[in-house]
Amino acid sequence: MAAVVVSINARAADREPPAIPDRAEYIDRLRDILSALEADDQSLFEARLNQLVRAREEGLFVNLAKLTRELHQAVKDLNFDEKLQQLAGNEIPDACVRLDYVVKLGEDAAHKTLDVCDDSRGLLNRLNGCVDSLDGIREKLPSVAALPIKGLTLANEIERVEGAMREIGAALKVSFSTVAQAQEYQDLSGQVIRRVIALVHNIEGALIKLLKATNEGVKAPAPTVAVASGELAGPTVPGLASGGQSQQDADALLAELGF
Amino acid sequence: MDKNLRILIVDDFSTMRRIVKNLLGDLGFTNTAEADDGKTAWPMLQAGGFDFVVTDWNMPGMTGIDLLKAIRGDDKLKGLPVLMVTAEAQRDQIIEAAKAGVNGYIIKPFTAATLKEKLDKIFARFEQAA
Repeated sequence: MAAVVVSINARAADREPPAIPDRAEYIDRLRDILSALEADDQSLFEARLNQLVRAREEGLFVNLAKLTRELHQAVKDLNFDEKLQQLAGNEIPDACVRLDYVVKLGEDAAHKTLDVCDDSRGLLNRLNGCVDSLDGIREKLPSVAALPIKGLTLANEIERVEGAMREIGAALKVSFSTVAQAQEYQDLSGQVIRRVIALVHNIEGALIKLLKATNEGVKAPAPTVAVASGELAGPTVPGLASGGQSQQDADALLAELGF
Repeated sequence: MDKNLRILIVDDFSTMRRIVKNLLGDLGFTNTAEADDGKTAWPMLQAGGFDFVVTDWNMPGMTGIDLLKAIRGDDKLKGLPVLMVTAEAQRDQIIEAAKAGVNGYIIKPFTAATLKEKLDKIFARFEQAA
């Protein structure tokens, strides 16, 4: 990095004399302008003044163009162009595709889980039906004393309910496995997100190098930019000072406002 | 409270709509409909028949806060209770929603108990007012 700074400075030393007038030239030109003004020669005064202004502006532009070229060269010397091009041209669009994929993985897993919840509610209703059936059978038990053959019918009924309950149990077991398996998205999405985090660190590093190379240095981080008007802050993330309120804070705030 | 209330659930994430729908179902409210943003919700509300709105804030098309403002600005709908269920937790936003006339504010992620508590509170107020 130091080499680049030196190379910029070295070029600055080689620079042709700037086109901005120096002190002596200023004095001469200003004297001309003053004598034209004192001689009441308005057109000469205007012409000389314009010349001076133009000379000064041209000098500034020449220097600015030179600086821009040098900066561009310095960045090129460091292969930043290539590195940034790779980051901006390939890796960032890639990261966007990866993150879209993470969103999809999470969404698919959530739907799968919710589907199982819906199915399981149905199973739960059937289970409640079985309990009701057993209640009905219990009510019929006293009749067995009067007519022992009824015991056989009730035994058959109990067997039917048992069968239904076993079936429900087996289906619930499958449900639990499906829910557990649906969580595997977390492993994949975690890996993808970690890669994107690594990319963000790379970009951060490249930008810091660029700042140093341009002689700006890395200053203390600017305070977090306030969320632009109309832009929402999104979910509060633990560990980030985003000023997000908890439900309790929100309740207290609303209570203050008369809710 | 009338469990047959017709409730419109507005959220751009279909999973969240399903979760809210299930939670409402657990609380006995099964008469629900869904919309994926304010733009979709608005004609449904205009068509009438809804007694309650549960809406997210951040949605493409038309946000929940704009939907709330549209509801409050509409002669037919202005009295409709609106519960905001959102990840937006900034103080300014909560105040903005309150000023726009929201009836309850739930911050995601939330629990079934929070949803029940806010619904009970809103219904108690409406019954008091009635």
